[in-house]
Amino acid sequence: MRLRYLRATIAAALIGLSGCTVAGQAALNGLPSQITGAEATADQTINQLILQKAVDTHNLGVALGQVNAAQGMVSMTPNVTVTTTATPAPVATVAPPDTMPTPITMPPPVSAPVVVPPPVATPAPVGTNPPATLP
Amino acid sequence: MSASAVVLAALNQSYGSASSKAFLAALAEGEGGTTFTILYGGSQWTGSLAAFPPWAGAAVGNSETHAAGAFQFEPASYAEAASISGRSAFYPQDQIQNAWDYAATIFAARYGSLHDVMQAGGTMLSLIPTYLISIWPGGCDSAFPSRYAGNLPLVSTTTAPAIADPAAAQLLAEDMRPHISKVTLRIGRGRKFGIRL
Repeated sequence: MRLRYLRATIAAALIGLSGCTVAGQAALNGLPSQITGAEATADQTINQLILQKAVDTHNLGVALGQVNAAQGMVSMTPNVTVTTTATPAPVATVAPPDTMPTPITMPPPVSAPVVVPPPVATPAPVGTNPPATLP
Repeated sequence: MSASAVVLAALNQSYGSASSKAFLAALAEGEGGTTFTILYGGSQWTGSLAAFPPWAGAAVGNSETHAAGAFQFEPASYAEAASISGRSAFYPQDQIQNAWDYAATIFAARYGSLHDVMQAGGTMLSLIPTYLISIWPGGCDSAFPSRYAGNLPLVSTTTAPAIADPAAAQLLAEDMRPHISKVTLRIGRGRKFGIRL
């Protein structure tokens, strides 16, 4: 399973009233179609309920969208702003130099093939010459 | 004609596409870099390859060169290349990595993606002499396209194995632990928490 972490910031929250029926319109992917008052307590919010279920079912991405689409509130209109920032695993990158590299001052190449015996091999110490990685 | 067997063998030990390897093979061939220890003039460096060879150099007209290796780097340019790649040693794979990274960086600053051009081939290969001949007068001359075509069948694409990511391994280990799924929110107040999908 591919692992990904999201950091979600809930900008505003709504407190569900105990005993009231609140209905959150859920979408696809197995989320419950309704969250009844029995499930809402003074210490819980609609957002939390949806998030709770979403986390349990590993379907947060859909739940976040539904937080904004909650319908059938008894007293207050949901006003939730949810932002997410994906934080994928860090990927090492190599930035190019800021300035133009100094060009090599190249003399003309060896014009005639030079036949020389193979040099005495200077083997690299173990682990110090990993293969180059080209695109 | 093609690059030497020594250079081709080392390139085929590298990871990467055949087009990238053929670029380097054509470059080495044009520079006369038949081995990774060759010095300008044809002699061979027999000392350590832990760093750029500190050889005395050779006179060229009124100037002096210290070019060495399959791609005939000078010490200053090799140091620049090493600052890009992170590989300051002078072993064959270090030279290969540095040659590509250096060429790609300069080409990107002057035109665009070197790999894309090599993958495209054909008439695009004429861009190599246009933008890199000042760096490698022999290796990136007008004959580069024909050398590239001659070397391409002699190198193969090699895929690098997946690199173990310590950060990913840690996340996976954390994933195996029981996670807290209940979050209590209060009106007007924000909470930050990590969520597993």
